[in-house]
Amino acid sequence: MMGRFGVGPGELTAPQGVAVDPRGRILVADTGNHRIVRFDSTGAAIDQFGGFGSDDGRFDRPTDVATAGTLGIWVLDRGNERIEKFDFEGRVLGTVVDLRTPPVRERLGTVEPGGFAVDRSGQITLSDLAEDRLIEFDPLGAILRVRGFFGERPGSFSDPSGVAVDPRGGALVGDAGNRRVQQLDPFSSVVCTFTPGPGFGGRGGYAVALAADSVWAVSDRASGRLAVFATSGAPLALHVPRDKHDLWASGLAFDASGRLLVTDARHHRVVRLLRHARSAGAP
Amino acid sequence: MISRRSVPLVLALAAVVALVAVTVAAAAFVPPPPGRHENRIAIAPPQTVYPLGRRFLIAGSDTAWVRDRLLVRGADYFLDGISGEFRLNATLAPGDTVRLAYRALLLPPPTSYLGLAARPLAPPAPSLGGAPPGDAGARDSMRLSAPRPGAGTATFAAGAGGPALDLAGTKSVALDFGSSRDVALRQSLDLNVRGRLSPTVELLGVLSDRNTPLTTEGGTRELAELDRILLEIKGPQAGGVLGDWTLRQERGEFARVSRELTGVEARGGGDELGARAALASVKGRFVSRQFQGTEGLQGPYPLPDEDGRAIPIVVGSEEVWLDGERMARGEAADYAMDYERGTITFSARRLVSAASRIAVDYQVSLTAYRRTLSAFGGQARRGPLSLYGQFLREGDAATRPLTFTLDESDRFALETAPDSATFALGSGVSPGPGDYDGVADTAGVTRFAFAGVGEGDFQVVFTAVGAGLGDYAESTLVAGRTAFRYVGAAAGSHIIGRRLPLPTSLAVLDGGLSFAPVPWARLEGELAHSTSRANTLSQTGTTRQGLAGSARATARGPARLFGHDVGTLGATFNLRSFDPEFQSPGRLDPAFSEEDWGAPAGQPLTAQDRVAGVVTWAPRPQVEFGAELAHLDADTDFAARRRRATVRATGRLRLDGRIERVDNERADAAPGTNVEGFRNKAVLAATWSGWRRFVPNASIDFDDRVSPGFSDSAAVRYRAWNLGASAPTLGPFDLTASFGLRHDATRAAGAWLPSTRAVNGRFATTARLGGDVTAAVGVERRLRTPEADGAPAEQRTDLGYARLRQPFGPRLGDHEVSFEWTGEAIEERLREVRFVGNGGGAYDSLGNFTGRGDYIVVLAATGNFERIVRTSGSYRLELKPGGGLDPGTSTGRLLGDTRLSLLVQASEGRRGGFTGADLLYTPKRILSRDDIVFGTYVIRPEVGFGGRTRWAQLLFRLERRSSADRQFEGQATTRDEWSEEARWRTRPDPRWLTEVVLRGAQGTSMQSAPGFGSVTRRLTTQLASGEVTWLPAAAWRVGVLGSLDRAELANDAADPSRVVRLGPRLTWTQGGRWRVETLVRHAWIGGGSVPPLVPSGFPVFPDTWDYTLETSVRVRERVSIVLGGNGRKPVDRSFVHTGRAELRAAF
Repeated sequence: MMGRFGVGPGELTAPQGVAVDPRGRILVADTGNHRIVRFDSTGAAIDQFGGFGSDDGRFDRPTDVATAGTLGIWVLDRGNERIEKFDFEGRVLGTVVDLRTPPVRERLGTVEPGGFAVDRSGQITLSDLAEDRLIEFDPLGAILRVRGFFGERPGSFSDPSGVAVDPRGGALVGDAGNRRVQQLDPFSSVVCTFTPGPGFGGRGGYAVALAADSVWAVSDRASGRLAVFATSGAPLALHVPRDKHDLWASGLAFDASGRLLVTDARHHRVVRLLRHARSAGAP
Repeated sequence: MISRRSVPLVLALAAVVALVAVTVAAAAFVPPPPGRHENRIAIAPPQTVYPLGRRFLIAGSDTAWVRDRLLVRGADYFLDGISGEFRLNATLAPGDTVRLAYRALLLPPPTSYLGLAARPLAPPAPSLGGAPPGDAGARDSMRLSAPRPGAGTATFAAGAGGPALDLAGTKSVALDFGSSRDVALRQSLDLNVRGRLSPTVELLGVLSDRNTPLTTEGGTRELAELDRILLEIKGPQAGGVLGDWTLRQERGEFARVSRELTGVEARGGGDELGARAALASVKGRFVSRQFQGTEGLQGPYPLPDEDGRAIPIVVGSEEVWLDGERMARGEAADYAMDYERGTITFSARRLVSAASRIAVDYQVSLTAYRRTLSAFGGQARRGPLSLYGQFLREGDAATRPLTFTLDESDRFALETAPDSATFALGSGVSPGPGDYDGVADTAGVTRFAFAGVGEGDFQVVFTAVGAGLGDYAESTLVAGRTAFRYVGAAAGSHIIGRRLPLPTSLAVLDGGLSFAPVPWARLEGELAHSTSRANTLSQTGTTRQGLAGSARATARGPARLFGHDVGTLGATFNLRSFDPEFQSPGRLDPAFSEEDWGAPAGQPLTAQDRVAGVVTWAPRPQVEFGAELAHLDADTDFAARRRRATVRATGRLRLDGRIERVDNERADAAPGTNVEGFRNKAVLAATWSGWRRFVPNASIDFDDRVSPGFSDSAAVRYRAWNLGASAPTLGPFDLTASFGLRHDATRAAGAWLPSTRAVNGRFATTARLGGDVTAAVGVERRLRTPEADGAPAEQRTDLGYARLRQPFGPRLGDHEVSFEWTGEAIEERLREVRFVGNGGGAYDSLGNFTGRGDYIVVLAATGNFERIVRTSGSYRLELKPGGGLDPGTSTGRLLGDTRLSLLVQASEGRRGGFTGADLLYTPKRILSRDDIVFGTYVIRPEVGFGGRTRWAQLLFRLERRSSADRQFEGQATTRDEWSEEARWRTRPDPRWLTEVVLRGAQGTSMQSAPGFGSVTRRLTTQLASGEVTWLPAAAWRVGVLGSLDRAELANDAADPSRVVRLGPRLTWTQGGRWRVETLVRHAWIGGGSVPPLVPSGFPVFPDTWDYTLETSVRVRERVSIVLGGNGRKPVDRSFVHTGRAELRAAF
């Protein structure tokens, strides 16, 4: 377990997003403290960057964080309606996407960021709750394309919140309003849709994470539930909070070893779930 | 009839026949290969990826047909063997069936999750901090438990085994063009690689090069010109780094160095025998500064270069200590850096006073020459003997100036100049339009005379050389420039010429050995030689060579006395010496170490011969006593002898104390100063951790110091007491509190006189209250009061932060309030608005840039800093009252996602000390109070509902934004702006979207300047916009958008600005491959330019036409071509077009 409630170094207040950098360091979007906190691979706090504000390098309720190898760290600064980029040592590089600027507003209209993901080439996929779509930006922040619109059909969305991308450009989208997770290929075609299961009401939005070997996870922020699936759709694990003290899943990320990192905004902590595997020959 | 005798024969025959039959049957039947499967896939465009239901397919085992046609692997289709996906590249008719045969692993690799419930693990042992990253179970707190008996728990380890490199990134080549610009070819590259070259060799790399123009000579030519580069290889016996990295050389004490570099480093071997080499360019020049804080000032403290100039600092190069404790960067941590301005500001969690000792090592950006560094080193160990050697050279590349040109005459000037920059002057005269004319005097010698700004024949640069050494003197200020005049030979303070930076160099050769013949004793020695040049081009300058050496003998082990175990005894004898010519590339001694020898702070001892002996006795493992006797000769005439006793204890009672006496003298002390001095020091800190809920601590710090070579005014005496406690688990609270008292005295005529008294109180807590309410509060106050006439004036310092957050439940929202206050300073700046005649300037009488005006603006920094109290506060409320409504009902659809939010943000800087009223923000306070130097206030309530309905998706927003800027003496600009916005969206059908936005805004600005009174302007704007969008199919998005803008300035003779815009927007997307988006608008314009609230030199005239066109084609999965363009037609001018064609490839 990493973090505890507080405002000091290594402490967290209502953390939401989580990511792992190529050195194995764990980055947590410490939403309540308006900063990013870094832990090493053993869970010890290293440092933090950010702080409340709207200047470069500052945040107003950062809700998600993503990495793309050594290319950098991206932070979804929801209060300031932008995506900021840092190098992988945490030094600010600037604002990549600013949703408040007139050119972006003119082209995209109102955008209410739900979640985002960055693929290994630095391309950004942002989910938009306002118009129920995915917006893709190139590594420099130019708008590449828009995927989907409101609806229940495959390829349409309702309250798309969490996003994860695979190395080939496919996406996994937490389509919370339709209570499903959709898998899209690089050309926006729907590969398949999954239903997380009963209790995943979707009102607080879904967070999704994709592991390197095609295992994926989804959490329901309102109910705190967490489920892990194979890409075939076979359920592998399910966590349901037993009481208010139990793990309340919010943000998700897999590390390089396949362990699942889960932020628990209700209890101001990050929990790492160990991955177990069946022995060869076991039933 | 078969006889009994023939039965065995028949049985044998039958067995043979059966065996033959089985053999023949077995030969005739060929079983299918294990794991073979066949799928029939019905093609249903636009779907291109079809999951097969099995994973881990065997590469090359697949065959695919459609009708009679054999599909070609890699061209017509691709099979993802890991995830088990069939990906179709060929175009097939809907309904075609693909038959796919393949083989898959019989048993999948053991990588699946089996758990169904999370349960906590036992808390990790405290010694697990060094657990390797790959050790999955070391620090995990939860695990997904195995549900089935018999399931194994083998931990999955990715990446073990052979090479596994992951190369990713993007490359783009773009052509920028336009009707009013040249064609430019640009490229960018982002490359990222990581993984393993072999099971034991790791590779990590990044290369980023952005927006570099492509030229015939190529783009980026040097590593330092790349935005970012790093290639790091790690192996068990060797490794290397190419790109940006930090050199840390930490062996010994004479050649320690830390530098931010761009270059290459290679290392090999291990502790037994190893070596490394580095060749790099240095990002900045190393500067080491130490200074005392200013009472009540958290910052900004300037971090200038060696010449006192404010120069940007290399990002991340700083190391900061406050009172000997290493600080961490971060506003929520200890300090914040402004790298561009080169300043440091401490956070509200670290109080800075006049007694604070601040030390900062950093690198300032290079401004003179490129700078290179080469370093080599190695070490060897054999048995009890270990050796090391290292060489470092850092110097300016004199032939490669950065920010200026160096011609032959300049080189000659540098070659003939000695080591002082005073004599290194380049030519200061260049022909062309300038401010000076050449005038020949009676002797025929040319002098220069000021002819007016831009009205002379020469550009002339003057350099200050000191009174009586130059021929020119400052005359007057013209248009912000200083004019010089000739005053006679050696009668002025300036000469003609520009000062040339001196290229410097430093080389240090360092070596050492360690010999430990027995486990309880060790001998160590180190020898270093430095060579430095203040001007590497000079033929007359000197090369300074210095020598440094140290030796240390240490013995430590258990001892018995008269047959009794008496604990552990230790002894250390230490010799160290370095001469005044010796230079270290880093910090040689800890910051403020001169105070340990009785010298005043900030007077480093430049040459030292030091002898020290220390004995320690640890009767028990937790307790150690020590005694030290040391002697120092420094600066040729400074001598000091120090006696010190120490005590240290660990366990429940933690003690750390020392008492010492220093006697010192300075033989060359000036008259009126002390020849002899002394220092008495006593420090004791104690913490009792025997109680779980309450941990008290106390400390004392007494210091008396009279420094030789200085008068009594430099003497220091203080007595400080501190009492504190922490309660880590006091119910829901985590408390820390402390109280401190300090008396400072001055010395006059050999007697100590009270000077000031400072009282310090600090309290901090974090609490988790009921209902998930969380709070964090920290306050600190320090009050320094004078105790004698002439003592520093009373100064109060207040720092603090408070934060409270209360969630109303996961479906209802939350609210949060936070405050922070601290003491800072801003530089007093002057801004003069000067009349220069009709049309001669670019500003109006209030200093607004208008492009063409009668005034110029002259800015001047006074160098004086003014104390301010800086506070910031915010309140955020977010309510979702409909969270519990059933979305299946009409009420639930209307109000289910109702959102009410309120945001209040304010920050201000006010002259004076902190009061509680500083946290009561109102717009009126910011707009009207003259002592508020800068301030902003924003309040924004917002209501939205109906998001799940078709017809009533509504959002109402009200915002008031007030700001004030009074940073220039006597001048003020305030703004008070209101805006109201209503947004109505409908979605009558999934194919239709409409949006209407109505917005009104009223703004008032007030500007005042000395001599011009104040001017108030009022601006009213209205906006109505709407868009109708039709989504006839997944590929199409067709819309029409229009808007009406109106802006009117009160009491302005000009007509209000009115603009009506209308145009279509069309988007076509084809399966993620093609995307075309275009927007064309025409504007009908009435009135003049759009008036701004504050006058501007850039009037905004709406365009009569504007368009945007963007096309992207994804030619392959990871390759796109983007063609974009936009244009606009300003009023009464022709169209201006710009465009870009770009090829982007991701890999």
